Amino acid sequence: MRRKYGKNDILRFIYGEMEGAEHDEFLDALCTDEQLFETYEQIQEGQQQLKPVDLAPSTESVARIQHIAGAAARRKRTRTPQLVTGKNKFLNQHHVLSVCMVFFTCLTIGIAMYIYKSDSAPTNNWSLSQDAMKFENQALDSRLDFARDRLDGILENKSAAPMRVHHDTYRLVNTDPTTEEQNVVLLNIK
Amino acid sequence: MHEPLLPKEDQQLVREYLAGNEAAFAELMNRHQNRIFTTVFFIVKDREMAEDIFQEAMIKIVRLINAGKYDEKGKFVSWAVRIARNLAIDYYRKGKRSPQMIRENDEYDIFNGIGKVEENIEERIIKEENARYVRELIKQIPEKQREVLIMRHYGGMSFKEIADVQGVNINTALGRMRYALINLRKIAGVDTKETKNEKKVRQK
Repeated sequence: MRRKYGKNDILRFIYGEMEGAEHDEFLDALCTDEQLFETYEQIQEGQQQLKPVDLAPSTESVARIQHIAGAAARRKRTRTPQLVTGKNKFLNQHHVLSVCMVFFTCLTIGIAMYIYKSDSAPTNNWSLSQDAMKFENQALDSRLDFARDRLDGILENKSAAPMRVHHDTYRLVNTDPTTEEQNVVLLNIK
Repeated sequence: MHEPLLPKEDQQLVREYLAGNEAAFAELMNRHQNRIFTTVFFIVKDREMAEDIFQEAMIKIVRLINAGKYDEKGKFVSWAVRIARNLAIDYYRKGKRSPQMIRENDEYDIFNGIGKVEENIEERIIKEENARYVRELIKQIPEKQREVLIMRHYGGMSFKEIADVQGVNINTALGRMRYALINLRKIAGVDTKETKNEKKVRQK
């Protein structure tokens, strides 16, 4: 169905805001609709009064603006440029990036090693209590109690041949990370 | 055979300027400075004030581009004209410089200060006469209509963009333009017979 064009459409036609099929259809409407054509003529006559005016700003204004725009562009160029253009290769962007990556890698490895060491280091704190030898590490208590009983038995039966300490207990003492002196002290107490 | 190089689009020039190429901005200015300046001039109707506003508008445009606030979706010139128009209207509203100061003297040379040495005297006189004629003509139409007329005819903004700027729908902007042109025709005395209906239009 053909569209009915109004007076405002004339403006869109005159100022080239109609495209393709709409433009052609409007031309047809101008040919057939007398009232539309009359308004079109009036508007066009009005538009013709607007003679072409192309005023230019002063050269001083233009120069000032271009100076400001140029300064802004130069500031931009000097902000990143030595990193990008490689004028100062020491500060090349890729180099900075590489150094940062190496630094962070080392830092990560360092932190990981520290955590691993502190995790894998023995945490049993051997100490002597006033009444008897006690281990703070409760997990070891039962086995150490067993070893102590056996040692007590050996010491009480001096005439008897020394009994061999239970191999688990023996090993426990030997593999214990505390120093040898501490082990000696430990065994000499009884 | 080499094909002639196509002129770069405004958006491309903006991108190049953002990348630090100051010549790209000079090219942009060269393309659009007259349109922006003419628009400002017809709003404020004073050469000196137009120069001030034009400078302020262009500096604002530089700042906005550098701050990454130019949206590539729209046309550069429409965006620039809109900024200049807003500043011109602000000047008017704030009364920084009263529009009453407009020189009505016919001898006033609106081309004063223009440094286009390559332009010959004859061209210069024709331009001056045209500008003065249009200025006198549009002075007589209502403000809203005048604004639409300036932004569409001299600023090159679309009716949709003008409607956005004025905060009205597109049909209102189109209607204002229509009344403005019909009024101009009357003022210019193209048709001396004025019907009742046309009188109404003139007063709208």
